[in-house]
Formats: sequence, structure tokens, C-alpha cells
Amino acid sequence: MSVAAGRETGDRHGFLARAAAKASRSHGANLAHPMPPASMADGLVPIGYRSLDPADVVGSYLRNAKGALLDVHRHGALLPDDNFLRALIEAEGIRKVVVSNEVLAVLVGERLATLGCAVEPYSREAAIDADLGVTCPRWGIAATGSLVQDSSLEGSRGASLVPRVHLAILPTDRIVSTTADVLSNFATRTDGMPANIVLISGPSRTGDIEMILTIGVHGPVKVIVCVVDP
Amino acid sequence: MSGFSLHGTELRDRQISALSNVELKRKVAAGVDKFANRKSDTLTQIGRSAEHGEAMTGTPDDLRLAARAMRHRTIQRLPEILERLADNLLANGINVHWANDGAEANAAIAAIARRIGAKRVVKGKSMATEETGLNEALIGIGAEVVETDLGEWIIQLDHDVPSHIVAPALHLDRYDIKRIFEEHAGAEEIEATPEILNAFARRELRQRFLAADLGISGCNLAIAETGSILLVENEGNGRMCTTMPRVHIAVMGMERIVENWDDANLVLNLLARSASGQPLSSYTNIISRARGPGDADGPEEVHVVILDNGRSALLGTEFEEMLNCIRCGACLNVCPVYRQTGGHAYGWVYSGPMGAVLTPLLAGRDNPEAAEVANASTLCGACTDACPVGIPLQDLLLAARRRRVGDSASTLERAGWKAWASAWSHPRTYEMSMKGASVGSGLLGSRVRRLPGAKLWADGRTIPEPSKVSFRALWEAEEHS
Repeated sequence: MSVAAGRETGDRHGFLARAAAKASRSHGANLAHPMPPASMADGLVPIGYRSLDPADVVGSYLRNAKGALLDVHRHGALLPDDNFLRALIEAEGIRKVVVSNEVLAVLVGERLATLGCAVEPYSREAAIDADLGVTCPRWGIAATGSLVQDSSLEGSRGASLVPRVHLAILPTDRIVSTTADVLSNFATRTDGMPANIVLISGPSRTGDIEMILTIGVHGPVKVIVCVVDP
Repeated sequence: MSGFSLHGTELRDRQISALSNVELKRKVAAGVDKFANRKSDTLTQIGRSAEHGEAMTGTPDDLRLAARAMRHRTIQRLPEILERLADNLLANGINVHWANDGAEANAAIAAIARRIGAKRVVKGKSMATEETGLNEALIGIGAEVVETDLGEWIIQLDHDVPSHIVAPALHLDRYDIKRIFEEHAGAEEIEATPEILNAFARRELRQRFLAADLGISGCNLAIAETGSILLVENEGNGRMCTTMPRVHIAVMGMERIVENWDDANLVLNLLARSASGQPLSSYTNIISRARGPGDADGPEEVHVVILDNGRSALLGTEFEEMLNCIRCGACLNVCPVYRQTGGHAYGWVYSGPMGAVLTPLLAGRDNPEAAEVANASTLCGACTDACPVGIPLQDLLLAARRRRVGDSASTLERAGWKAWASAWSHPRTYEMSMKGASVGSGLLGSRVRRLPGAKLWADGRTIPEPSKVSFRALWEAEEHS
């Protein structure tokens, strides 16, 4: 994707020259707490997770997503069935739905429409009073239970943020083991970085009132994940 | 530097005021205990692994060492990495503004706000803009500024300042918040439960997000290799601020940067665990461009303000490692001084051990008010143990005190300490001094308080009564018996 280059203000050269001049000074080493050898940071040690069972990545995802307070379900089909969707509509009081422009999300949107919901493609205007946003994340991360939304899949940024409830359809072949599996791909993306990528690892939450976990601040009050067969 | 003010108060007075507030101590202690317990639970869940995607074989300490070495390597090459970041941001169509100090940052942001005719500004949590006093600057050009992090909004309504880097309203309880919402936000007879108070905030702030022209955020980490800005948050207000308004400005301290995504991965895995005891925060938000032709939403313009504001002065000094800080707040949660006083006693934006180091450094050497903040510590070292990137905070606290004495102590004071150091370095003179103390204290007794300059020191301390027979004498008697 080519875009017009950004503009720059201020004195880059002066800013960096000052920093470089300061950095070139030398100071004594810390003897009490010596700096570990630089090799510690070369090709960083891979991170291991107690939460990850390498032999059962999907099972790890389900367990950790639940731990992250996502409402996660395993469906042995390409899509959640109508009974599940009907129960969801009932339990969450879903009337208006916005869907992002991804095949599985659109298919679920069609089912929801036949079950009586008002379904629209995502737009900011439609999302504001929508009860449900449907997306199909690009990846799931087993070690943390995260969903990875990529804004180049149209509507996924807002559909996972603005409506009261977020429904994510996650095929098992999109579940990777760790955060590194997602992040280390960024540098080699041939299409460059999209405007926005978000790792969602729980519902919107706060502890700002007496450190008591309170769900549903500015983003979705509930995140429902349907892990489906590809 | 601009925006710096300790309101002409002294550390001692601020601490006494905090210590005499029993309610405050209860709230702060309860808060930090919860943070610290959650952190130790989640941090044991990761460690070194033999191979990628394999089970854990080591302890989190391996990762702390790696993180310390990685942050060190990054800060050592900071100018070069910043240059790469700026080039990649520009190539992605993001505008870059270099700000030597807070005034320049505020001016750059105000210029953007004026150009786009911004009347309503929403802000995600940003400590850097607390440093620069950005809100006042924007209000000064006629914009309405609303903090949208729940804790920040509460204290903004109450004309208060943050008391904890992660939980700004840690010093308030539900009844305080009920009062604030009723007095300042038009709530009527609202029930004082976290759920009801939160629902009120969601409703009120949702309107502000939708109406805003300009969103301002901080920056947890910039990633040079792709020209990306990463924001970590739980509430969704950060995503709202960076998605809904037409223009987004991120303000980053110049050290909030890594070279590549491997380094970012390590920081990310330590940050939320250390801050709030979550494996990852609810939202890890990565911004690399403005809205493109295929995007259904997002801002049309994105700006990054790169702020120095005293930071570069740390480069090439013994304080350089303070630039490795990832702002998780773990050191606050284990600090015995923070626990007793809360954050306001530190007097400025940053509190706890990291604040006690950073405040004097960012304020510059000609600021004695700030320099004394380094004394808000017992040097117990709990902060060093807690730091996920291994910053030796206790060494830096000691160094900051040393610098203060070097800069400001009187010749007499210095001569006195020198004589003391010399006397206690030799057994003979040490013994003489102890005998002197026995006699001296007998003579002086409580009169020490009347000595010039000693009253402040003596208040709150009980002077020990030296024993008539010293330990050394007893020991020798024992040896010869």
C-alpha cells in the first residue's frame, strides 16, 4: 500500500545530535548490579508459557481464553448452529447487528438475519447503537487466549470495539501458539502494516474503582468466541 | 524544563500530610497489595524456553536479564533507532514532530488543534502529557479536553492529579467517586457501587468519543522497524481515542522505543504481568497508518510527537538505565514509602521509586525541590527486585542522593560527613567517637532538639541511649575471662 509521506516539524537533526553527544559520554559500570552480557539480548531467549501445551494448541487456546474472561465455545462445524445463535440473541437481547467484511462473519450475519436480527455491514453510524458486532479474527493466540483483529479486514476494527457485544468466529487453523508467532510476522509482511492491529485479550475492563474488576467500560461488555472447524 | 512545579512545598510537609490521613493509608495499602499479589501470580507463568513454542524451562528471572540487556542495547543506540522510527513513520504517512521540551510539544499539538479547528479533545492516559501540562495548554486555546481513562476522568473532574502510574485514582474509594460524579458530572443520587459508577462513566464518555475532533494518546512503545505505535490498555478508551476522532496524536517520550518486534514481544510479555497481573492487557493496540481507502474507520491523520523534556540528559550518565523503564508501576506496589504516603507526596507526575529517581533527573540540577524527592525511599531494594527490566533502582536512588549532596550541601556539612567517614574507618577513632557519644548524649539528652538545624531531624525520632559499657568492651572482657 503506498501512501503520501507524512510531514515533519521541529529540528530532527538538532534533537538527535544532542542525544548522540550525550550518549557518547562514558560513566562507570554498576558494580552492585552488573549489566548482564550483551549476548543475553542477542536473539532473545524464546519465552515459555506454563499456560501452553504444545501438544494441544486448540485446547490451550480454549482454556486461556476462558481465563481471560472471554466467553469461549467450541463448535465442531464451520459455523455455530442456529440453536446457539438463538440462545445468544435471547440472552444478550440482540436486535441490531453489524458485521465486518469477512466471509465467516458475513455468513453468521446471514444466519442472524434469518433469526430476526437487523443485520448491516459495519459502518461507524450503524455500529453506534448496534447490540452485536461480528468479526472473524486473523489469528488466535493459544498461550494468552487473545484474538488478533486486523483493520485491513474491513470493519473489524470498529465491529470489535463499538457494539455492546462482540462475537468472534475463530477457525482452529488460525490459532497460533504464542504472541511471538503473530508479532514476528509483522516485519516481513509484503503488504506493509495495516492501519491498525489489535490483540484482544479480554472484555473491556477496569480496576480503577477500588481495584475491583469491573467489566464493560468503553469497549464491549462481553466478548464471545466461537472456535470453529476450518 | 517546562511544566515542572512542586508548588513550593517540601517533601517533608507532603509526607506528613499524607501520613496523617489514615483513610488514605488504608486505600493505598489495599490497592498496592492487590497489584503486587496479582503480579507474582502471573509472572511465574512465563520463563525461558528451550525452543520457540515449547514448554517453559527456566524462571522469569532469565527474561528479566534478557530484558535488561535488550533495553540497555536499545538505549545505547537511541539516536540511530529514533531516526529509523521517524523514517518509517513518515513512509507510512504518519506525521512526526520533534519536541525538545514540554513547551514545544504543547505548541506542536496546539498548532494541529488550531489547523483542524478542534473544539473537543478526548485523551487516553498519557503520563508524558501530564509532564508537559498539555491539558492547560489546550484549554488555553479554547478546546474542551476530556480525560477518558476512568481513573483519569475521575481525578480530572475533581481537579486532582494522578497518584499511581497505572491506577491514577488509587487514593479514592467508591464514596469519593460517587461524590465527584454528583458534584462535577451531573450524576443524581448515584449508587456507590463499582458497576453503577462505571456504567455512568461509560454512558457519559461514549458521547464524548463520538463528538470529538481530536484524540490524544500516549505511547507505551514505538517499534522502529515497521514505524508503529503500540498502546496497552484495558478499558477501550485508548482504542476509542485512536479510532473515532478525525485526527489522532500520540505523544511518546523519546525512550519509549524498541528496534524490532522481537524486542517488543519481550516487553509486552513482561509489561501487563508486572503492571496489573494479566498475561496481556485487554487491548494491545498497534497503529501504523492513518485510515486507508479499504478501512471502514480510523483517523484520517495520525501524528507522533517525540518528546525529550530532560530525557537525553540521562544518556551517558550513571542514570542512563532509568530510560529502560517500561512504566509498569511494579516498584510502586512493593515500596514501603509509597505504601505509607501514596503518590501525591512525591509532588509531581511520577511517584514511587521510579518517580523518586525520575523527578530529580527530569527537573534538572538547578531544582532543589525536585532533588530532595530522591530521599523518599528507605533503600530497602524491594523496587530493584520487582523491576521487570532489572533497573537497579536502589543504586540510582543512592546516586541521586549523592548528586544532590554534591550539588547543594554546604561546605560545613560536607566537612562534617568527611570527618565522620574518616573517624569510623579506623578502630581507634571509632572507639573514641562512641565514648564521646555516650558522654555527649548523657550531657545533651533531649537538649539535642535545641541544636540549630537538629529539630527537624530529631522530631519523630527517639535518640537511643548509648549503653554505659560498649559492645566492644563487653566482647573484650568476655575474651579475657
